[in-house]
Amino acid sequence: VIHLYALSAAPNDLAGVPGVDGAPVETLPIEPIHALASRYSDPPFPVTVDRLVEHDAVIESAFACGPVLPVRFGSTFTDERELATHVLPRVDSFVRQLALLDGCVELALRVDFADTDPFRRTRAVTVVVEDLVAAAAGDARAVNTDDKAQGRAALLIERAAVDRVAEVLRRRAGVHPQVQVTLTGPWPPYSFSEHRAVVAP
Amino acid sequence: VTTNWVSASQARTDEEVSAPPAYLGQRATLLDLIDRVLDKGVVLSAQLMLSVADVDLIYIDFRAFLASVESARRTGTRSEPIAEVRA
Repeated sequence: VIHLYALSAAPNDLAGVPGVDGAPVETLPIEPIHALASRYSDPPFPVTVDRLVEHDAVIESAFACGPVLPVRFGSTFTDERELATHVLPRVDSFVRQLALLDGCVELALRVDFADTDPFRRTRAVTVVVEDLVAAAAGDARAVNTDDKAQGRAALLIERAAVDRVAEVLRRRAGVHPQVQVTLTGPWPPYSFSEHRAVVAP
Repeated sequence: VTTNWVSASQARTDEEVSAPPAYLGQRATLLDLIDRVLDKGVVLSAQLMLSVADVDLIYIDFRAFLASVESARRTGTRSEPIAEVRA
């Protein structure tokens, strides 16, 4: 089977980058884009933290070379023909999204609030996430607040703006002393891979 | 409000929570990584191999993962927390 990591605009030379379980990573052309994948002779493997980390490591390596669309872990195909069957109908939207994501990284916001009342907790983290995202929205090419009720959000930021946005968020977090705010990144654009409007530069 | 800049290389085990910022930073990074790899990204077909049980197991595995310094160091992820703000 083929285990898929990401779609990329340009072919990536990932020789020496180990895939999941140490398998070599191949670049498979599906014109005009490319798929980064590993081949396995056995059926799909069980998911473990180690394999998730290895999956991300391949995406990070490719992301260091250019824009990628990360593919969710667990996407497997019997062969290249089946893979192409799933990619080609949407290839135009993938090309557009890759162009819009070029030069951008994802920052992840996590807001935690210790409260035994789940409704109060949800309300508190939602308010803080919305406030933090609003504070940084002027620097963001896109935001994803689908998971704000869980205290999570993602911002798509131009790479050069990461430090500035982190500082904006750090200062703004100071007005919410009741919660803990964690900012991680820069990540490949996991939260902006598809169906997400991105403001052109 | 205190701000702590942390990196994955500063990982701590459960037994070393006396250094909470670094420990929390590592945990946050891994948790965000797992959330992203499992829940974000392009979905090309409905044949994702993961079941709900798989995802539950992953978070159990995640806690075991944190208990091992060697495992944490093996991550080598470049997506380290760039800032942690603790109020």
